[in-house]
Amino acid sequence: MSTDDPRILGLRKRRAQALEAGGAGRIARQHAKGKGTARERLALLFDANTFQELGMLATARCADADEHFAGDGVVVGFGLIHRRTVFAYAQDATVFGGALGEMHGRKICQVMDRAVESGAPIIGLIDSGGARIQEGVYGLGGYAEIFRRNALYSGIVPQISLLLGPCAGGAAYSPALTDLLVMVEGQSYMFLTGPEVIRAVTGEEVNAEQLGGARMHISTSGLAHFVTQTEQHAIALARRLLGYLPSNHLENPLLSAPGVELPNAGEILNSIVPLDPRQPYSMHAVIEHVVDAHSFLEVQERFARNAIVGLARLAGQPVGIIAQEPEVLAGALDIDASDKITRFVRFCDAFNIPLVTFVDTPGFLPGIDQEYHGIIRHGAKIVYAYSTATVPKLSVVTRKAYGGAYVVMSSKQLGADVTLAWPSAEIAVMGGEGAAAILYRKEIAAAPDPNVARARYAEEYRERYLNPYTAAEGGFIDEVIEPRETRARLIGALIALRQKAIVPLARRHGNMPA
Amino acid sequence: MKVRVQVDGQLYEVEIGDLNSRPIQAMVDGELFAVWPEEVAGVVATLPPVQEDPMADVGARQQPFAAPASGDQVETMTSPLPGDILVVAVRAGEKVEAGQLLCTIESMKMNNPVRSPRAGVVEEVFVAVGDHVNYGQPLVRLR
Repeated sequence: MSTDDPRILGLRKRRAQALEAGGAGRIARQHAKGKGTARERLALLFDANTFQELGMLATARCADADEHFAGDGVVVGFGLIHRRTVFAYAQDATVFGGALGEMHGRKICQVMDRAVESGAPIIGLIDSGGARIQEGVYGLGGYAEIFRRNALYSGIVPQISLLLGPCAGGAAYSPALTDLLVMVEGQSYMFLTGPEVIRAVTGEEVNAEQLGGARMHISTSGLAHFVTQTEQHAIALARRLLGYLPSNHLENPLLSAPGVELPNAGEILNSIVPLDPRQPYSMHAVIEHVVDAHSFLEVQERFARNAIVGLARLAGQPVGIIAQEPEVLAGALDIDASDKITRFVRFCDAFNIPLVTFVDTPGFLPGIDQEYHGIIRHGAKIVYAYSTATVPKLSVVTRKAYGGAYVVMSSKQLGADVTLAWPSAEIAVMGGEGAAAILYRKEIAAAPDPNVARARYAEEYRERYLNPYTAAEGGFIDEVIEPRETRARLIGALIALRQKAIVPLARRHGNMPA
Repeated sequence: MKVRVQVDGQLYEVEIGDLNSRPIQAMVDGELFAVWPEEVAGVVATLPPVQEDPMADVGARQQPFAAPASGDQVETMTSPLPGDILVVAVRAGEKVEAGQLLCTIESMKMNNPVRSPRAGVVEEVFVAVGDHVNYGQPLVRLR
């Protein structure tokens, strides 16, 4: 609209300057790297034309800086994603490399505060070189203010971090405190001390990508929950993730239209567990044939692959899936698997997402290394997480559930609401050979052929104990079902338990092992 | 599959494992043998393709990372757990796909498959059927 009112023209000029951010040259350089600007990314994240910016004209007050840029290197605001309000901040790599200064930090904090007060998720689009050195402790203080909010708001609203560039030094703690962390291959990296410092101190040669790239964090450190090929994919994934989550801890996740199962799912499930207990099978396939077709979104897919965690839907109801993968490490629980399961169970419990656990584990992984590194305190976290979770808890034992691993994986006695088992389930203190060796040590030693005797006792034990029926007789398994009935049983239980309400005992807070 | 074979008048009881795995395992009167059959290209090519079972393969479900830009990368697959080598499914020089079975380790009362994390060529196989391996012991070198 044309006007000659100088006040309006003045505003237009300031806004136009702010939108230029670091200037055309720096924007072109960002584009040349295949990266978008903060505003371009936000436009992709939110439903069309729903994003409203806050603090576009905020500027650093630090006198030492040579240049000042409106917005101070971060774009913050709110908008709609799938027609629900979400707050977001996007660091702008074209202004001081996205480095965090005082005003930059205050803008992020303000948007986090507004999000929590209005019960809406927070998404951080991170692309920052670190603290702005010229601003000294003011920048550091900004980090502290963000971290404190990440922690205080944990479990109140979902917090998702999209790493779309570097995130080095202490800055890395903010994404680590959030619920879900997405990295982009070849574009994002995170570490506390960079390659130069490592070279100087330990003499180790490593580049940024090897040290803290997406591949490392998705498979080795377990920090990243997802890795995508491009930043567009990361942004699309964030939109998809929100579809499984409520806006805050007081709401339930939205029900979607009930999905259907994959074709022939019942038949496939009924024949999926091999008769030979030594033959592995794919627990991923079990999950995908139980839940709504194509609804399973695996979290931390490449980390601790002996355990499976992910979001899915059953008749449109979002659920958190926890399972073991018998194809990897026989499905044994180890330190990394324990951490992965614990964090996911607590995430789901915080946001009213029912837990569905599929159990097939021969136990905890034996080894000096595991014991020395504290498998006990890590495994104890699974107990803590399942015991304190108050959302509906369902479990299905598909095959092995031995010893301590049976206990920790959502057993009836740990508070599972409905426990199911397939006829192939083996719920016992241990497997046949181990039990025979202990129970019949003397008989085996005295036998003319100890090997034959051991095999015979193991077989006896297997027939007597390695089944679901002892547990069902004891009331530890509610129902032994055909595998093809699993989906219907779970859906029925989820509907029955929808109003489940548990008031935890009063306390300041528990003290989870770490 | 169990067969009886007569060689020089002597009758042997032979139990043959999965014909699609390499080597094929054959149990002859309680002793395990690994057999590399002669592959006849023409015959193999006319066989119907293996039924793609969408659920059979966990490894293949994952989007493999793009191959590194900087030429060939050598990677040694190590044993994820201690146990006995039950099957060696590849030979040096063989091309493998992501998710393809490299070997099977008997451990934790399970036959644990070790699959290729990516497509490549097997440079060297460090283990043979019957070997005991420990955590982290090299199994196969991929290029």
